[in-house]
Amino acid sequence: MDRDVVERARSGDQEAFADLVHQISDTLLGVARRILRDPTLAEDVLQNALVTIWRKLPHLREADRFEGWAFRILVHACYADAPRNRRWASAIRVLHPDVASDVDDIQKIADRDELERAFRRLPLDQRAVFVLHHHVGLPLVAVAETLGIPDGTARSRLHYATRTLRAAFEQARAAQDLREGRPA
Amino acid sequence: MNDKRDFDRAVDRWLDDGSDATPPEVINAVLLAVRSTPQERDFRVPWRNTAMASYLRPAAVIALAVIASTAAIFTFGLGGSGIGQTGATPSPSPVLLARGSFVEHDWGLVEFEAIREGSSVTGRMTLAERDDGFGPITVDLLCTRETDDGIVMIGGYVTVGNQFIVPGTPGWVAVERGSPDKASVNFGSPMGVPATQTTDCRANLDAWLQHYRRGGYTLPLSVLDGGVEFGP
Repeated sequence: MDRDVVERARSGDQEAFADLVHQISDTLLGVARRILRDPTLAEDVLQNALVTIWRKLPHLREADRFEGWAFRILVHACYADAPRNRRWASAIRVLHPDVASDVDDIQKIADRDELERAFRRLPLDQRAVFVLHHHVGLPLVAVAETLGIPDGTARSRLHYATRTLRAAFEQARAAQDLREGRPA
Repeated sequence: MNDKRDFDRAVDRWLDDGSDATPPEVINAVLLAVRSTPQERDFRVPWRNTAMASYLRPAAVIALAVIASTAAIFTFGLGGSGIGQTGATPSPSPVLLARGSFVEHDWGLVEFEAIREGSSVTGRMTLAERDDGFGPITVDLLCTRETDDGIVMIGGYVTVGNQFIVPGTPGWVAVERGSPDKASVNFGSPMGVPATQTTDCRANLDAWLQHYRRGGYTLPLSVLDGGVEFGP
């Protein structure tokens, strides 16, 4: 992130902020989409978060920390907007027959659907840690710093999220083996 | 081992699924909203008139002397009245925790005095009114935390504020034991700390300390134009 652009946006330059939006919006949308599991809701949340970022920019102390600060505002926007939305609780994925052309594809789709269902059951705070760590690639210390939580809390949220997803994944594999007559 | 690799691969595939390209209409809506959305003003308005500091310094010294003598009268009492009137249990003697008068880069002229009595703290911090219209701010000091590296944080709540720092906002001053010329002043709570936590004076100081530690640095103390005196 260009420090100079952040500094200019912080002092009220709307063109500089437009540059920032173009630089960071895809990354932020990716995080919101993965936490919320709903592209339309993620776009709404991104929009709210970006306006909040603009409003609060003068409070940002160090321009170098802009990205982590923006992630934090985005995650809080996800927390704020998700409870109002109920669609993601019952979304169903449609399997297209032409996609699932062989056993491997069927297995991949089954894995993905099982992970999806398990992830939707996770609380948002566990989802946020999982996405920032696995998708954005932040080390756990940085995840904790970004979310303003202790390292131990971040570690524990990641542990519970991973455990839930792994259990779902293993269950899907066992069911697939059973269908294909393979011993468990 | 294979299971773990399979799981990791499945998670990667699932996380990589889909496009993250922001639709242009979302970006346009944001930029349109920004045009009519004012930015919030930062609490820490830069100190612009350093000449003011030297002008105010004699007044600050006098004000500090008045505060100190008033505090002494209240804490030690006149003619044996006041503290200990009930005579029930002897309480620990009040001692000076720290006091100072200095010009801080962001806040301007700051004066404070904190008296420790047992585990509690009493005292006051004032930020003088500046020529740009910011201030005055008064904070009632109520609690303290001392770090292993000798930084003393003294916290409390704003009693006289303005539109940016409203009464009830937590505020603190941090000074370094052994250094008469380093301090820092701030208000509010670090982002991410629940608002309820700020009703606990010491929890708020802890939250700030944790915030700085997580960032990998200690409290950012500045060298002052002025000084700090420590109690025993």
